[in-house]
Amino acid sequence: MDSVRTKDKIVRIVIHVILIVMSIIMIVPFLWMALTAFKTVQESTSITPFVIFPSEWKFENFVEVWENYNFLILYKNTLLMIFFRVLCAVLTATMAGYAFGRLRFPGKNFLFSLVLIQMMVPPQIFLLPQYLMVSKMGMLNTTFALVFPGLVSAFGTYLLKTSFQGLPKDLEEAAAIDGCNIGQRFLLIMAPLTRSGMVSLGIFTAVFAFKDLMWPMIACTSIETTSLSAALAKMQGQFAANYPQLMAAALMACIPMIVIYLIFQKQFVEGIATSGGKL
Amino acid sequence: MKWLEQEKKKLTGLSRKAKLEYVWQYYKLWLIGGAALILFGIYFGFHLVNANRDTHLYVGFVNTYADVGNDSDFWKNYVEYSQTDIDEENVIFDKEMYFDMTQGDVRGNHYYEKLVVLIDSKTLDAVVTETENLRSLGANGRLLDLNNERADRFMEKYEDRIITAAVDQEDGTTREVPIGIDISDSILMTEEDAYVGGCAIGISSHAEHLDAVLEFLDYILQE
Amino acid sequence: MKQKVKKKMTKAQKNEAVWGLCFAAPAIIGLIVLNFYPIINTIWQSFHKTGDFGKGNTFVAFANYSSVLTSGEFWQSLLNTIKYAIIEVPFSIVIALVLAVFLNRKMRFRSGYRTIFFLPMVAAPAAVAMVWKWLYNQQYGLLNHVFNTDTAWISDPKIAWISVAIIGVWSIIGYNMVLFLGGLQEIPHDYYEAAEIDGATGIRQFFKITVPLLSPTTFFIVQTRIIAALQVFDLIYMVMDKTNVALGKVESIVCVFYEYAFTFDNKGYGSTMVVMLLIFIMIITVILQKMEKKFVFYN
Repeated sequence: MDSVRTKDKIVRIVIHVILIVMSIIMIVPFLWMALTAFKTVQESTSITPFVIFPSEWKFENFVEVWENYNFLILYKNTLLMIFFRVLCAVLTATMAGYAFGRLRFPGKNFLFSLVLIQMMVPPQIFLLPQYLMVSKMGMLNTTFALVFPGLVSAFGTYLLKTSFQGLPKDLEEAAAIDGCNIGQRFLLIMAPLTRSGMVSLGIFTAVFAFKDLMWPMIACTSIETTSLSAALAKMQGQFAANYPQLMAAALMACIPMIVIYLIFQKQFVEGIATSGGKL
Repeated sequence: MKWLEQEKKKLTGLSRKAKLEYVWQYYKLWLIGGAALILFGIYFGFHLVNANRDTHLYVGFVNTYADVGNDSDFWKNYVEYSQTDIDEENVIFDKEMYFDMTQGDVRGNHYYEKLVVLIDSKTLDAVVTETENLRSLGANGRLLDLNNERADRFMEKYEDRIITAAVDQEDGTTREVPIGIDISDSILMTEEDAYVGGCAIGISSHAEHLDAVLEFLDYILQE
Repeated sequence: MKQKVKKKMTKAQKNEAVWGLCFAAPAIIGLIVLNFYPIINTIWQSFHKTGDFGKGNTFVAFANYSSVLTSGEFWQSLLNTIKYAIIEVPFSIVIALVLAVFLNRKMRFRSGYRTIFFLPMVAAPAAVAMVWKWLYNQQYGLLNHVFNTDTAWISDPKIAWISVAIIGVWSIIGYNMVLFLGGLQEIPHDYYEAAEIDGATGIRQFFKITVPLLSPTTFFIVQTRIIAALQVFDLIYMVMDKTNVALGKVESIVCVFYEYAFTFDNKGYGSTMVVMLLIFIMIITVILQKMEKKFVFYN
C-alpha cells in the first residue's frame, strides 16, 4: 500500500513540475507587460543595458491612462459587445450544431460545407462588404455595429456539431419514446448536455470579440461607441513611443477578460452525470 | 405539446411565489437570453428607423493631433459654411488615422487598413496629410488621377497647386500622376497648426461627393 | 431527382428534415449574408484586373490565375505556410492535450494553472511581439544568453521559420487546451471508475479511454487548427520587420495577399491568391473528412 502511495506522490510532483515550467513560459509576456507598465519611457525601450525591473515603481502610468480615457464607457461598450456576440453565436451555433450533428435533412452536407468554407478564407476579405452593409443600414457608431460580424459563428457551429455527435444515442431515443418531439428533445435533453461545448464557444467568442481591433476601429470611430481594444490601438497612434502607458492600458484592458474567463470556466461542470433538465 | 402539459401540471397547486421560483430555477437562462434578444431587436429597429444614412462629405485627416475632428470648431465652421443640415446629412471629419507611407511598411497598421476600407467602399471623399505621405499613398492607385475627366474642375481651378506621385510602370519606368492639391497655405496650417511643413489633399478614387470636396477646398483656402 | 427523394420520405423523416432545416437556418442565413457574399465577391474580383486611379475594373478571365501560378512568390509563400503549419499544428495539439489531461484531475491550484495557460489569449499582441523579439534578439536576447550561442533566431533564413512557428505554438496552446478541457468534461466518469476497478493505471486509462473518447474533439481541433495555421498572418508581420532578410523564407500566403490587396491596390491579384489558398485548404479538408471515419470514435 505504501509503495503505491509514494508512487502516487511522485507522479503528482512530476505533474506539478511540468505545469509550473509551462506556466513560467506562458506568463513571461504578462510579467513583462506588468513590469513595463511601471517603468519610465527611457527604461522601457533601452536594450543596452536591458532593464528588467524598474528602478522606481511608477503608478502614474495607470493614473494617467485612467484619466485620459473614459474606461468606464469603454468597458461598457466592450462588455455589451461581448455579451451579445456570445448570446447570438452560442444560440445559433447550438441550434445549427444539433441539426448537423443529430438530424437528417436534405442538403445537409452541402450546407455544412458552407460552414467549413467560411473558415478557409482570411477574415480580411469580410471587412469591406460588412462595412458597406452596416453603413447602408446607417448603423455605424452603434452597439449593433460592434456586434454585427459576430452574429453567427462557423467555428462555433462546427464545435457544437462535434459536441452533439459525441453524445450517446440512447438518451434521445428514450425521450422520443416518451413522446417528446425534436424541439423538446433539443431544449430539454440534448442542449443542456453540450454545456461544456457552449462554454468553450462562449470563451472563444468573448476572446475574439475582445481582441478584434480592425472592426471596431472602422465601424465605430467615435470614442463613445468603440471598444476597448480599438481605443487602445488609438493610443498606439498617439503615444507611439510611450510603451509604459501602452502596457498599463493593455493590462487594465485584459483584467475584465480574465474575470470573464474565471466565470466561464466555473461552468465546466464535472462530467455528464450532473446535468439534468436545467440549463 | 406533452411537455407543456407536464409543466402546467407541475405548476398547478403551487403558490404564486413557488411557481415563479420554479420557472426561474429551470428557465432562467432562456428568460434572460430571450429578454436580451428582444431588447436588442427593439434597439436595432429604433436605430434603423432613425438612422442618418446620407453623407454630405467624408474627409480623413492623417497624422494630425490638431482639433479638427467632428464637433470641433473647424468642423462646425465648415458645416455653417456649406449650410449643411446635419440632421439630414452627415459631415464627417475623421482624424483617427496615423500611418507613414514614406517608410513603405504599413503592414498591420490598422489605421491604414481603415483608410483602404473607407476608400474602397466609396465612403471616403478626400484625404489630407503631409505632402510626402500623400505622394507615397498616391503611388498605389487609391487616389483619383486628376487628369481623369471627373476631376476636370479641380484641374482647372487648382492647376498651379498640383502634386504628383511617381508610379512604377510595368516596363520598369516611372510615370508622374497628378494625385493631390497642395493646401499648405490653408487655414488648416495657418489657424489649426495641423501639420508641420506643409500638407496636401488627395481625392479618393471612388469619391462620390466631388461638389462637396470643391466646397471644402473653398472653405479651407478662404482668406 | 429531388422529388423522388421526397416521395420516399416517411412522415417521421419529413418531420426531422423540417426541424433540421429550421434549426440550421439562422446560422446558415447569417453566414450567407455576412460571409458568402464577400467570398463570392472575392472570386468575382479574381477574374478582374483592378483599375487604379479611379478607372474601373476590367475583366481579364484567367490572366490573374496564370500569373499567380507562374510566380515564384506564390509557390514560395505556399511552401512557407505549409512548413509553418507542420510545426504549429502537431506540437500545439500534443502539448495542449497533455496539459488538459493533467488539469482535468482534481489537484491543488487547478484554476490557477488553467488561468495562467489562458493568459496568452488575452495578452496585448504588441507586448507578445516585443517580448519574443527580445528573447530572440541576437545580441541581447535571453535565448543566446542562456545557451551561450550567437544565433540570429529570426533573421537567419534557415531557422527563422522554426522560431516563428514556436511563437505560434506558444500562443495557440491555450486555445487548444480550453477545447480539450471542454471535450474531457463530456467523457462520463463511470468509464474511469470501471477502469479503476479493473486496475488500469493512469497511462493505460489515457490510451484506452481518454484518447478514443476524446477523438471527436481531437479531430475537430486538428481540422480547425490546420485551416487556421494555413492562414497565419499577423504573427509574421509583428515579429519580422520589412527589412528582415529571412522574410522571403517565412512570409505566408495571407501576408502576400495582404500586400497586394491593401498596400498595393491590386485586389484582383490578391483575391486570386485567396482563391488558390481556399482550393488548397479544401483539398486537405476533404482528405481529412475521409479519414474521419477511420480515426474518430463516436458512441
